[in-house]
Amino acid sequence: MASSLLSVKSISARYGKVTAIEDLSLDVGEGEVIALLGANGSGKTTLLNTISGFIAPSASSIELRGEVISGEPPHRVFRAGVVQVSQMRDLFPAMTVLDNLELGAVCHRATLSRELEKVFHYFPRLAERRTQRVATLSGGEQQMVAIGRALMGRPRILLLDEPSGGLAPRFVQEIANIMNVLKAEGATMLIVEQNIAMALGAADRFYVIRSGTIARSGDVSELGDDHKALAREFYL
Amino acid sequence: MFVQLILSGVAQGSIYALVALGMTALFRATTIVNFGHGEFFMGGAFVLYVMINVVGLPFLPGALLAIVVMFLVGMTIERVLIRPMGLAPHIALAMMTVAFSFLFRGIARAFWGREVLPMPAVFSFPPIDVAGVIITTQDLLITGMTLFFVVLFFIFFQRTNLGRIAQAASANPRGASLVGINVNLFHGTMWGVAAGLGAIAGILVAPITLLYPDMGALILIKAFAAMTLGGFGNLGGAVVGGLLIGILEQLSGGYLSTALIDIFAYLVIIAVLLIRPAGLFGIRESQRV
Amino acid sequence: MFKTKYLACMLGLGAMLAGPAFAQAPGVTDDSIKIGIFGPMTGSAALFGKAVFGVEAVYKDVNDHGGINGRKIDIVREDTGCDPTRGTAAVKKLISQSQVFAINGGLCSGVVMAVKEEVAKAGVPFVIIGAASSAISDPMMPNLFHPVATTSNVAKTMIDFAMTREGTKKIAVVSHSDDWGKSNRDPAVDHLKEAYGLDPVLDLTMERGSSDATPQILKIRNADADFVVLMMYPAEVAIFLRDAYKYGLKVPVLAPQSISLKDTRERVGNDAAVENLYVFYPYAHPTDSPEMEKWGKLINKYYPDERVESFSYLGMSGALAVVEALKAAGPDLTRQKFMDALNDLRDFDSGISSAPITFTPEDHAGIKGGAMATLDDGKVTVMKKWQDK
Repeated sequence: MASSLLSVKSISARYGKVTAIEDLSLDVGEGEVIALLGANGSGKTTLLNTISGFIAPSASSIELRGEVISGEPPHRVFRAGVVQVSQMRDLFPAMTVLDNLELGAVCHRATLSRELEKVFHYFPRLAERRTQRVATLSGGEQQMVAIGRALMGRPRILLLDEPSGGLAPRFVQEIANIMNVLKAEGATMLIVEQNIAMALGAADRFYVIRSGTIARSGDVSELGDDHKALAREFYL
Repeated sequence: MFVQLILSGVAQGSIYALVALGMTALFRATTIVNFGHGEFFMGGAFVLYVMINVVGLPFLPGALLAIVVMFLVGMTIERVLIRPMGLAPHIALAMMTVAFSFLFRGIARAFWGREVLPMPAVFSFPPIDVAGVIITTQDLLITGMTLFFVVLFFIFFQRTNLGRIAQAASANPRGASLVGINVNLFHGTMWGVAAGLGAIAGILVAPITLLYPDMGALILIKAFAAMTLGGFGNLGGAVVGGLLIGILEQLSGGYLSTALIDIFAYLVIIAVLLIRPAGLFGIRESQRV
Repeated sequence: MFKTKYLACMLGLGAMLAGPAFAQAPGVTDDSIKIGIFGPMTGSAALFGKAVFGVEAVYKDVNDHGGINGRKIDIVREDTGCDPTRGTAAVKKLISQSQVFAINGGLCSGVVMAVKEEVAKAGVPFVIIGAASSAISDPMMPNLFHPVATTSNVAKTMIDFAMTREGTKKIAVVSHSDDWGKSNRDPAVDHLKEAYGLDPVLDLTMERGSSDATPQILKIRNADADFVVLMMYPAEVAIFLRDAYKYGLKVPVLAPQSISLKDTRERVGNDAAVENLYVFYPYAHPTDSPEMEKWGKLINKYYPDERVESFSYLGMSGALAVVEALKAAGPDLTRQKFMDALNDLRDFDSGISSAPITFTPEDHAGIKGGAMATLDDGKVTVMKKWQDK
């Protein structure tokens, strides 16, 4: 395993009285792509939101390169380099594609144009629609904007929550391609995904999360064709 | 008479517009309907009074300082009273604003309970007669300053990068957090801006009206009427609504009955809600409320 | 012999023990008389609460000069906030808990009307400070005394004043539409009809808290009125005058006693704008005259931080009448003796109110008649009849 970039150390998080995550630990190494698998309600999204600072963990800590980021508000976590593409995408629908992308670089004004060029390179479709309001785009295009906006923030680690969720097959493929491109360029990613094939396609390692805790983990390479069994075990 | 009524309606309406604009901006940014907004208006006028009559400053520095003080008051309210409530339901947040509105009135009464304070006259008085239509310096000043601040506000929000950040944070606070915007600080700032706009309105009318602790209550209703008429949550609508309320009040008073002037705001609220709930510039899509 | 002596001794002792408790009225001891005072000390009408300090200063001054028949006045003050509910509670407290001998209070007519019944039941002598509604003393209530120019008296004076100018036909009325405004407007309109057979040329409203009078002014200008009668609070009167000046309306404007000429000039910030203002004047002398300043100094002696205003004097002549009646009632003070003494008060001239105070057993509205005042070259001038400036 490469040197640890993000380490989650036995955290717990709760919504009111309901414990969503309990004593959960995981590690993401520099340049690693991790797939986070699990059924609906198993605590995946809660974990991402806890890492991002939207939910305060009740025990232990989250560290980024050895620096504690748990307890920091979301904008600080972002500025430390942990950037989330949320399930709801959380775009600014009344604004243009360009506005949304530029807002992603609010904290990195200096490198804005270079990053913008990169994003348009990944998603040529967005370059065509740069002046269009995001609300008028299709779901797949909106997902591209969301990923593009996250990249504008020059993440050290990208947290992706269901990037293929609800998309038409051709967009799923496009998103999967981007995952691979990003991986090839050395991006560190933590991907929550229902589409196991897609998640494991890009991932180095995987964690399976069940009832708020890690049930299984391992290298994707060691899994072989076993991922179908994995799917049956955890999604059905 | 018609032109005269329109002119004085514009001056009156400018004040409503400023107050309604502040309330709308705050509502857009935080989804909080601030029932304490009238007290920002009152606060601006009273702080100006203190700056001039107690500290002894001239009008202009006093007014600027009063705006700064009210800006800080707005930020403090957000930090001390609103933020700790977290994700409380809207009704709880609204109740909090009602509570601090009465708290502010109480504070003002504690200091000035028995006094209705006259502000020293600031502007030269002689009115200008243009072909039988009379224009006064303070009407011009009120209208001019309102125009200035409204234009400034819109340029800021629609043409500057900070304004774009504000728009984004208003539209989707979570999305804003996800691009590194400090949403708490933004909310605090918007409370400050709203309080500042209310204070500006209070400062503009202070020299021509009289100050008393309950002066915010009436303006709050007018601002609500302006917001309702313009489309609740619509920034431009708040301004246009404020001006229209001012003008219509004057026309109804002049041509129908003077008794209508003060109930006019309520009539507008009722009529708009029944006939066109979205207001003049309301968007059909459902608002985030 | 021994027996009778013993008995006398017993009786004497008994009388000594029982004496203070039985012989003296509630709120009276050998060296004090407890008087309850109430008024709006807080709230939106707190400006009128200034009169309370004037009343208290009169009593404190009496105490500093040896009191009345060896007794000092013990003041108990309650705040009503001009709210009838709070006022009722305050008066109940004064009567049953503080057990005052008499009450000298009330600046808001609404509060006084609300507490009347309570006071009538208790039989406590009740002298009004400044509440002016005619309904307070009409019909007469035996233990309530009203040494104030009532609203109908004020309205009559204002209308009569306007009619002393030759050719007056068109009188416009502008009033608040609340109870206060009505209680001032109605007697004026009634008197205009009864005495002169005229209706107001315009009968307009301007609400409390308004910051603009454009529609009203333009209507009055179009109607070409001879006089404007304003039944409004100080703030709105100032705004009306400011706008009247702005639109070049040069009609004489009449206002009731709640309006102070100098305060209005200060508020409007312009001498020319108040040139046409005439107010009912409740005092015998201009507030800046040495005769009145004497009383202002008295208030500041006991309340150094109080800003003396024309309202400050409102209850002082009534308080002086109370003192006068307490003296006249003699050392064996009872409530009945005190009220008898008030009923005997004839043409009591305090030197403060515009007309002397007279109470009879049939009429407790103590002040009849009055004058109007205006600013002439910046000086308050009191006048009974219209004079061209």
